[in-house]
Amino acid sequence: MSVDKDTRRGLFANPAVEARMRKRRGAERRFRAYGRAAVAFSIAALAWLLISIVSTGASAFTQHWVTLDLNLAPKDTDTIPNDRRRLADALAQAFDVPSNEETRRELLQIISASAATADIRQRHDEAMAIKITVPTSDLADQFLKGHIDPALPQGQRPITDRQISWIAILDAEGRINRRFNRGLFGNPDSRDPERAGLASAIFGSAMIILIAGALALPVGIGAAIYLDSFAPQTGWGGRLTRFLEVNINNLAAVPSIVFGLLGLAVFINFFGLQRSIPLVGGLVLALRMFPTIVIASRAALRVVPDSLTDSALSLGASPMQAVFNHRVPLAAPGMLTGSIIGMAQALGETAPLLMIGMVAFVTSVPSSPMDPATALPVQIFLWSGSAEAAWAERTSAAITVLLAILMIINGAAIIWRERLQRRRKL
Amino acid sequence: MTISEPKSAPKFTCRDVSVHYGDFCALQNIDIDIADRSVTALIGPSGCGKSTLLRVFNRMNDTIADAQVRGTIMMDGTDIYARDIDPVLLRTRVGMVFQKPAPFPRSVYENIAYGPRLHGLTRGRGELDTLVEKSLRRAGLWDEVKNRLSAPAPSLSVGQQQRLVLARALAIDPDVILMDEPASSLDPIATARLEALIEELKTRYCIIIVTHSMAQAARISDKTAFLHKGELIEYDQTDRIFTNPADARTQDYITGRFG
Repeated sequence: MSVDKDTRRGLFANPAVEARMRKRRGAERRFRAYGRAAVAFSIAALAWLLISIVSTGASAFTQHWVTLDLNLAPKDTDTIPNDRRRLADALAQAFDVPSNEETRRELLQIISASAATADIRQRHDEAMAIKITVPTSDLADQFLKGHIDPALPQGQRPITDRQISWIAILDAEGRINRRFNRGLFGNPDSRDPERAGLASAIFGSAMIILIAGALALPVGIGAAIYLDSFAPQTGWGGRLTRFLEVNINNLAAVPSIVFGLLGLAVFINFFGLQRSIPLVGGLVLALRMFPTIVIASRAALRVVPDSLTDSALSLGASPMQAVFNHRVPLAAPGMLTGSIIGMAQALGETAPLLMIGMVAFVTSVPSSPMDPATALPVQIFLWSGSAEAAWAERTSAAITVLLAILMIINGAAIIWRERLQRRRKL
Repeated sequence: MTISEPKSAPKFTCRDVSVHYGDFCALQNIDIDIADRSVTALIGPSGCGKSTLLRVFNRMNDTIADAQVRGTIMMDGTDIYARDIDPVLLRTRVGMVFQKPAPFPRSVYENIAYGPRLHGLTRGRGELDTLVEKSLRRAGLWDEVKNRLSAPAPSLSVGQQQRLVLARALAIDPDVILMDEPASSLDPIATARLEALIEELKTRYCIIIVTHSMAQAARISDKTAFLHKGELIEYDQTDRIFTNPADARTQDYITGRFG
């Protein structure tokens, strides 16, 4: 049974209705287009960020090492002042060039002089033939990774023609190999890019987050449960409750540097704790996380239907049993998500840590929360301010590490949340 | 269990009961006696205070922040609003079924076992299993769920859920069951099952039911109370209320002229 098109139209529409419908459809199409554009824009921005950071930082995860056979001169403090000089002389001998001040300076620029000197210092003071394997210098490393264009005239590049020829000799002899940069994770900070690592920052950040989480999670979740289910809702008590809630919301909007100032004033100046230690960092970031956790947990608790707690109460559960047996378990996934977001924010927090002196140059791996340490975002900040090309690479690598840690934490949170939800559903 | 006690002493005696929510007076000066082992229906238009009155009997109004209850409510001669009465203990004697079934998001078994576990009513898994079965049987649900006791309770149909929460209330062996429009979200078949169940249960329990359906009140209750704007207008044997009400407002309501 077919109805011809005009009749069918006539059933539903007249010109005025059609015009209105066209407008409505147009508005709908435009709104969808805006939505797609917004999503595309944010994905593009994120992709650009990730690609630029990862492409800059990827090469920092490998490093060139060089193996050298050197004939060390005996240690003689009269003619040869130090191990650095012994090393330079041995290098000059190896490359068969006269050892003068200019040559020695250039030679020491192609290997990690500080690593090699430290290595020599371990050995005897006599004349001896040694074999050492050390990182190349940041300069040689950048050159070998192709970040320095040898076609440029000598004055416009940081590496000299002579240095390039030496590196070519070492490479031809198979003395240079590229390996995974373990030092990036195992070493603390250093003045030399080739020896600088994130160990102090990773341990510092881990301790800060553990301390902040251990303080802010129970307090924040406890406060949220109390405010949700037990705090007075009427009269003066209710006003106080609402006043508190408004102020917790305000606290979340306070710029984080203010928390740093607070930490400086309270924990360092008043309680006399040391500067730059993870304990103070953790305390400050606990304050920072607290409102986030309270707000997220409150929101998660609010959506649990009252009918469940009412049912439990009608079965003779005490108010606390009703809340903890039925309200909290259902809100747990949401609380967890909020807490993880708070933790992730704290992990990326820089400004308050600067205020409490965690911006210090720390060349040892902290072994307790009372040892000076730095944190990942602060380390990124520190490295980003240094001039050499190798630092740019390492800064991006550090950002990649921070992002990877955040993704692992968030991923773990999602898996945990799904598991909690599945268990609730049975 | 064929010998029934004399029904002379009322289960609940309310004298001059008023309930306020803040400044709003939800119930004023209610005097009512509720008989044991019978069904008492509370009817009236929306907002008349019938749910409030129901929640007086197990002190659920306590959970509403600004609710105030005045007057005396005696259960078996004890003032249930006395200072030394813990509402938590009162609620173990006075169970409640809400308008919308709210099964806990756990298994069928866990839903029933929750109350007995709270109060330590059983020793060991065997006794608990028996109690769960007994409660489900009493609520007429056993045959439908006996093979899926570990299924999540929210996956049952709404009618089954309503009987599940009834079984959950029965599991702690109360004396009184309060029902707040228990059939409002049920289809006619599920409603008929529930009503048959109420008929059975009234031989053991004092049942007070709030209902919007006058036909339902007429079918299942022994006595009916008509409330209007917070006042108890009329309270009498159900057949009297529905055939020969004393008050004109009752007459108007049951004939559908308002409400």
